[in-house]
Amino acid sequence: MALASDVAVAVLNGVTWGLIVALIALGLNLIFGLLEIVNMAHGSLYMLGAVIGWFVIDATGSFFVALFLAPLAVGMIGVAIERGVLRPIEDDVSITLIATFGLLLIFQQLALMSFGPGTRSVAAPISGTVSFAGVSYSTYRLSVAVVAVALMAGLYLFLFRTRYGTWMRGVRQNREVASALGVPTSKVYAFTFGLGSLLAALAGVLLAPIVSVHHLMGLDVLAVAFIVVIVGGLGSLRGVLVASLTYALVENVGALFVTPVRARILTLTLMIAFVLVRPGGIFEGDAV
Amino acid sequence: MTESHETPVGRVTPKRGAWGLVAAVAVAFPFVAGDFLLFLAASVLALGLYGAAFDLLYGYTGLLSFGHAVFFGVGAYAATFAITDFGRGVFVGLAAGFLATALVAVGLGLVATRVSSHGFVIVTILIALIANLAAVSLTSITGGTDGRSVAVPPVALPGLGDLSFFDPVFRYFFTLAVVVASLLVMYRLANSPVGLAFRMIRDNERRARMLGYNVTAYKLFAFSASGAFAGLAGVLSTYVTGFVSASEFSLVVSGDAIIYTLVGGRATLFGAVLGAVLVEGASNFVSELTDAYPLVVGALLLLTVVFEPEGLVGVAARMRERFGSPDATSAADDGARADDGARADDGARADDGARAAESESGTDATGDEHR
Repeated sequence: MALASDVAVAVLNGVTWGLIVALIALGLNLIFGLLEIVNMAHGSLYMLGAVIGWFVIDATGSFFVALFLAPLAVGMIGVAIERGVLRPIEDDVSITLIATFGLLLIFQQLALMSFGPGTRSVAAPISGTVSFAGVSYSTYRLSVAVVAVALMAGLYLFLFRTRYGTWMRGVRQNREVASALGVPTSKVYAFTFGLGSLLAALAGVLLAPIVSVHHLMGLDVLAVAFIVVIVGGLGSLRGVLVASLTYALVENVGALFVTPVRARILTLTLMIAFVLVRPGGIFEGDAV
Repeated sequence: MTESHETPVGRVTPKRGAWGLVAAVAVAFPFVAGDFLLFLAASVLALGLYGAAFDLLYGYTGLLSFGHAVFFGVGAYAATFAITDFGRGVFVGLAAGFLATALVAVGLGLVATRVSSHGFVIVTILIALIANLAAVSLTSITGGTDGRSVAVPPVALPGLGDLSFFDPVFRYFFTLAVVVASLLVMYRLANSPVGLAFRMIRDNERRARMLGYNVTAYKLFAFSASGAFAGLAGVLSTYVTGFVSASEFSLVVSGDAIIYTLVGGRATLFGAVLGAVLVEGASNFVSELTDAYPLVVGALLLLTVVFEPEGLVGVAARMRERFGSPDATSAADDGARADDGARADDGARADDGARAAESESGTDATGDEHR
């Protein structure tokens, strides 16, 4: 019985973690699909969300203020990056990659200098557990999962039911034609990068009470987000969701049997092997 | 200054003169520099080889890899195992590092070259991150970030007796010899028909494919060769420092290769060595820089790609053009300039154009115009 409830908790953890990973990777894939930029700084934007969130909580004492302010700040940083750094060099994929890698190093070092080398924890704003059929699970984690689902539903509605979302999909399909039809492509780019950054930071604040906050936390997430994007298919949004959930479930259930680090290494390796079988990802040739 | 002169040792052109000067400085250096400078020079040389190996892949073949730290680390550890666990000598260590890395690179390359061009980079990033995770957690094998010290055995050379790596002058010359030999091999490769195929893939992959070149095989070969030399650099670095640790696998180490190549100039091989000398030299002498090293590398990367993507070689070519020396055109042609076309080519725009053309008219005409 103990094993059964352990497995149940692992599965629940897997789903929560998978939804958060999907949130981060969706932003990454949105940016890639639209701007053809592989954003290596994406993990550090997630880290910045958590770190700025920690500072805001430290100053105001309110988690919800942080949940609002930190993603907004990081979203604005994202817009600034797109406008200031990436816009002049956007035509060369490898050059933009190197530039975002430079940003990764800079953000990491700035976080180290302001936040310090240690790990810090954030108290969950909702405490207690929910029990169901003999399995008790943290209320906060459950609410994170619910919020993540709500955010993704919101993103879907935004992309398919609003004018800006339609613009984004239009630019994704054909930049020249969209521009000729009067879509403000330049604004759409900046907005997309900002939105992706905001999603990553949101995930960072949401996860801050679950994982510990430190300046290197972005690197782990970067690996996970990249593998999910590759396995799900570059540019494919539903592929990202499926791959995220699969990844997180395998990793969390695997962690019941081996150490968490080994579980992660094994899962990542398995997913890389999947690339050998299906280089185009789960949903090959998907567009937004 | 640009004319060549007949001398008893042959025609001296500015280019040959410059190489002669570099060689003279490299050989004379141990007789004027102190022990610490010699140590620094040897480790910088190893890093220069590392940068040049990366350049073989990135500069010549146009494939950006963030996984070179893995090769550097695998080489370093292969040599460490050969020496400490199997009691072998320095040369076996070098060979082990080279071959083990080549093998690893072939394996990883099989995965990386299968996915599309953007996918290639992402897979290399993943490989680097996974390897780092593994190296740091497998402390019983790698020693983790605390590392392992390596007692490099002395080398018996005919006529010179046993030479120890504790001797800074020998250490320097040994490193110099291996680095120069490797650079010559890489130079030969880059200027062979195979190297031409590399460059064609960089400049126009689709055309190379249409002409019947097995692009995937060439990419795999470039990746493995580049990886093997990066591994050799890892071995040298271990010999110089007598130390190896899991931090060799960290993503910043991959970034180092990129920064050397970008600062020095792409597709030049020697530019990467120059880049290593400048970056490492500067960061070692300014202690404020050493503390915030990642910040400096990050800022340098950002500044280089935004303002001078062709690196120092690009600056030099531009200067020569500005001051109108007759040498300018030829030098610019075989150096950085040739890259300009390449950069525009593999840019996102050209891809878009090609895609749009395909979907609209079913021909490749517009795409070709972009290229």
